Amino acid sequence: MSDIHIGMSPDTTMFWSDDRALDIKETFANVIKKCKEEKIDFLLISGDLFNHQPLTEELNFVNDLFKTISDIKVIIIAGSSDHIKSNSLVLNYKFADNVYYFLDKTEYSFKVSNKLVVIHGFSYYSLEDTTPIINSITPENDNYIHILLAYGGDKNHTPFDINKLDDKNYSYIALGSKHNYEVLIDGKAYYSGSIEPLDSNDIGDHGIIIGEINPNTKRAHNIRFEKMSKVSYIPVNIKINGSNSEEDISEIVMNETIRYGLNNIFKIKITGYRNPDIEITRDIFDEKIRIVELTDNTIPKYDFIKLSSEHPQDMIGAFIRKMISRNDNLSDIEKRALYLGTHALIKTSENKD
Amino acid sequence: MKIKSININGFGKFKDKSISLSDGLNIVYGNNEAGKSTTHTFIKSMLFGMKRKRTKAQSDTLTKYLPWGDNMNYEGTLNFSYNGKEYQIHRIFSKDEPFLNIQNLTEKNKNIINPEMYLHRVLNNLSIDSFDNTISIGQLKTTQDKSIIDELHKFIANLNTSGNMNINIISAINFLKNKRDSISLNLKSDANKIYNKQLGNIKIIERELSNKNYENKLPELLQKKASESRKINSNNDEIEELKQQNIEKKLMLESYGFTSKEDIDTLSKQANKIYFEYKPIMNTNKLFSNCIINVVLITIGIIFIVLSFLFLVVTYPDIATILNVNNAKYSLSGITSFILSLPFHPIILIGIFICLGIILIIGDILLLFNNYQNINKSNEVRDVLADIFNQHINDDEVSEENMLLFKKHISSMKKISKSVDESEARINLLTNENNTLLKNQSDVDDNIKSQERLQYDVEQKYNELYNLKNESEKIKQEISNNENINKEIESIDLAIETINNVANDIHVMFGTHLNKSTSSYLSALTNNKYDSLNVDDNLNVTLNYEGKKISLESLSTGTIDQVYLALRLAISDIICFNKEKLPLLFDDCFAMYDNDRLKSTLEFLHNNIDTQIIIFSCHTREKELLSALGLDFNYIEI
Repeated sequence: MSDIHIGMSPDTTMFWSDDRALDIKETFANVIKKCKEEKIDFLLISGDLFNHQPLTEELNFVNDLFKTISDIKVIIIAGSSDHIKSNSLVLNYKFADNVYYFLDKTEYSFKVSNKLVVIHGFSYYSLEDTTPIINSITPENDNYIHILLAYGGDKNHTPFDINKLDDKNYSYIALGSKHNYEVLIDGKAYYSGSIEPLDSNDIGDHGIIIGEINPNTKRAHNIRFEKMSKVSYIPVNIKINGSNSEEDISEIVMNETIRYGLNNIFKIKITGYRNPDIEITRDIFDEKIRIVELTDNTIPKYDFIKLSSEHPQDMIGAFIRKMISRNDNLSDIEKRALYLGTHALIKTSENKD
Repeated sequence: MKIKSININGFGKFKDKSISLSDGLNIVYGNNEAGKSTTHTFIKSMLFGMKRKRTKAQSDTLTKYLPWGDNMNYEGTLNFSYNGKEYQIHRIFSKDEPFLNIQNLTEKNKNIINPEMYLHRVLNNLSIDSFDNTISIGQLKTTQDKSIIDELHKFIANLNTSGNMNINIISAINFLKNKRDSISLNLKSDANKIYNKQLGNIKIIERELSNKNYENKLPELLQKKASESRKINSNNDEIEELKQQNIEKKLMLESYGFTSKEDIDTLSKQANKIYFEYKPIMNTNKLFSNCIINVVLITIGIIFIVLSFLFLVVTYPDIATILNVNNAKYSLSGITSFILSLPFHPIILIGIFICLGIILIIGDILLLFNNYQNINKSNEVRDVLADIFNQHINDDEVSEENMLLFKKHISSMKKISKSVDESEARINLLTNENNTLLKNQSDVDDNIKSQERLQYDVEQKYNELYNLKNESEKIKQEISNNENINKEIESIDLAIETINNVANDIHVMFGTHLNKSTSSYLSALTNNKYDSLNVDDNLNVTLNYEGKKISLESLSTGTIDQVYLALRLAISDIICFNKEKLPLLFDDCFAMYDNDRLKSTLEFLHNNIDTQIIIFSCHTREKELLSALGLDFNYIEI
C-alpha cells in the first residue's frame, strides 16, 4: 500500500472533514487486520504513510498496530509528504522489531536472510527529488527474491525509465505517490493508490494490492486489488428541466445519493434548463448529503431571443439586446448579469395575473 | 389582423356559442355575469393558449374556465383575417395535451405547418403579458383620485424609462441592489488579511523548524552515550583487574618486607654496602696474610730488640757479665768490631733499634687488635647479610652467587614495585578518564534531555503548523467564496449599469416617440384642448394647456382617463409599427366617462382608429350614443 496520509483531513473546509481523518486511520487499522487474515509475509508501504512530519502520537498509532502483526515484516519508505528532515521525529523513533524504516541515506537495500528476500528502497529527504535514483539501483543476479519500494515516477519525483525497470531483476515493484490504483508493468509494478480517496479527484475504489511471489520462479502471481476504502467520491450528473422546482431537484439529488449511500461524497453536476425563479445552491439540498462540488451548468429557462422579440420596445428587450451586443462571446459575468437583470425586470414587473 | 368570428364549443358557462365581429367598431354588451370577461378570456386564450401558472397560489385559468356540465368539449375556434386571407384557429384546451391547429380558409383549408410560430408572428411576437399591457385596455386599477394620478404617473415614468407600463426599473434596480446587499453580507472582508497573516505565520514556523538547533541529534547522542558507557565499563574492568593484580603484587612485596619502593632501595643499598664492607674481609686468605704480616712485624721487632741487646752487651760488657753472657764473647767479636767502627756512639744505634723494635711490636699489637675487631665486625655484618639473604633468596650463605641472586631478586622486586606504580598510574589515568567520561555522560544526558525538550518543541511547532495550514485552507475557501461573491456583485453591478443605460436610451428614443404619439392622440381626444404631453428628466409629467404647463395632479379624473387612453393607443401604435395592426380590446374602460366625453371618445375611436375595436361594456350608453351619432358599428349582446 502507499499514500495513506495519516494526519490528513480531506476536504478541510467541509463538515465531514474530521470524519474522513478518522476514516483514514480506521481503514489503516483494517488493512493491518487484513494483513493478519491473509497471513502475508511482507507489508510494503511505498511512501506517504504520513501526511506530514509524523508526530509522536501518529507514530505511536501506526507502531501499536505494527506490533499486532509481529510475524509480518513491515517495510517503509518515506515519500514526498513525510520526507525525512533533519528534525524529523522518526529519526529516533523506536519502531517495533518487525518494522524496517529506510532511514539511512546511503543504504538502499535490506536483506531478510531467513526468507531469502532483499528489499530495495530509499526514503525521500525533500519534497521533490529529481535524481533518477531508481535507474541506478540494480539488484544482483543471485538466489534472492528482489523487491523494490519506490515513490514517484514523474519528472519531479525520482523519474525512472519503465523499460529499464522492467529489465531489472525485480520480482515485484511497489510504487507510491499516485492516489489511484494503476498498473505500471503488468504482473510486476503497481501503484496501489491511497487506501482512502483523499480528494475529489480520487474517484473510484481505493485499497491495497495483495500478491504472492513464487520462491522458485521468483515471479509475482495472484496479484489482486483489494478494496479497503469506506467512502468514494461519486460524480452525479443530473439533468433537470424548467418545470422542476427546488424541491424536485433536492429530491432527485436525495434519491440519487441515497442510492449510492449517504456516507459517500458527491460531485454533483446539474445540467439542463431551470426555472428562472429558482437558484441552485448548496442550501437547497439536504444538509446531510456530503457534496464536495456543486456545478450548476443549468441555463435559466429564459429564451432571451424570444423575450427580446416579445419586448421589442421595452426595457426587457432592450436590456437583453444591449447585454448580448456587448460581446460575441459573453463572459461568465456578462451571462450572469444578463440573467440577473432580466430576472429582476420580469420579477418586479407588475403583471395583472 | 382582424377577428372575424369566434365559436365557443365549451368554455366556462358558454356552450356552442358563436359571435361574429365586424372589421370596425364592435360593442359587446352584457350585464354583469353575462360572460363578457369569459368572452374576453376566450379570445385571449384562443390567441395565446392557456399556460399553467408557475405559482400554485393563483387559481389556474385552465381550471377556472373548465366548461360547466359534463361531457363538454373544452374547445373552440376563432376566425381571423391576416394579409387579406382568412384563417381559423382551432384549440382544444387540456392540461396534458393541448391542441392547436390553424387552417388557411382562403387556400383550401390548408393546415399551417407550425401553427404556434405562425400565430406568434401574426401577433407581432407579443407575449400574453405584453398583450395585456398594450392592446387589451382595461380601466385604471384604482378609482381614488390621488392614486389614479400616481398610477398614471407611474405608467408614464415606467414607459419613459422602460418602454413598458409595468416595468419599473427602480424596483428592478432595488431588487438587484437588495440581492447585492444580502450576498455582500457573506463577504469576509478580512479573509485576505487573515490569510496573508497566516501564511506569514506558517513561514515563520517553517523557518524556525528549519533552524539547525531543531535538528534531531538524538540518534547521534544516544550512540555517543552508548559508546562512552562501553568505554567506562571497559575502563572499570581494567581498573578492577589492575587493582587485583596490585593487591597481589603488594602482598608479595610485603612478604619480603617491602611496603614501598624506598624500602627496596634501602635494603638494596644496605645489602650492597654491607656486602662491600664485608667483601674484603670475607676472604679467609686475606685474613691469613694479615697474620703473616703480624708475625713478620713482631719478628722484625724482636730482632731489633735482640740486636739492640746484643749491641748493648757488646758495648757494655758489664752488662754482659751481669747478664752472664760470657759465652758469647767471641762470637760477638765481629759485631763488636762493627759497632766500634761506627762513627757515632753505639748507644744511638741501640736506641734506634730499641725504638724500631718497640714501634713494630706496638704497631703489630695494634694491628692485631684491629684485626680482631675486624673479624668481629665482619661476623656481625655477615650475619646481617646472611639474614637478608635468608629472607630473600632462602639461602643464608653469604656468597658472591647469592649476592648475584639477591641482586636479581631485588631487581625483580623493583620491577614489581615499578609495575605496581605503573598500574596505579594507569588506574589513576583510567579513573580520571572515567571521571571525564562520566562528566561527559552527564553532559550528554543533559544534551539528550534538552534534545528531547527540543523534540517536544518541534512537535508542538509541527502541530501548530498543521493547525495553521488547516485553518489557512479554510480561509482560502473563504477567499474563493469572496471571489465568487465579488463576481456575482460584478454581474449585478453590470446588470444595474446596463439597465440604467438602457433606461436612458429608452427615455431618449422611445420616450420621445411615445410622448409625441400620445400628445397627438390626446390632442385629438380633447379637441386640441391639451396639445402635448411632456416628461422631463426627473419623470415629471406635464400637459400643455393653452401654452401653460399643467401638472398631472391638477387634472380632472376624466382628463386623466383620456391621458391614459391616449397613452395606451400610442403604445399600441408603437407595438404594431410597420406591421399589420392588431385589434384593440376595451374592457369596461368608459364607466367613469360622462355622456359628452364618452360621445366624443367613441366618435374619436370610430373616426381616427383604423383598426378593429372591440369594446366590452355593461352599459347601453355606447350603443345609444353611437346610434345617435349615426356611426356604423357591430352590436353584440350576450
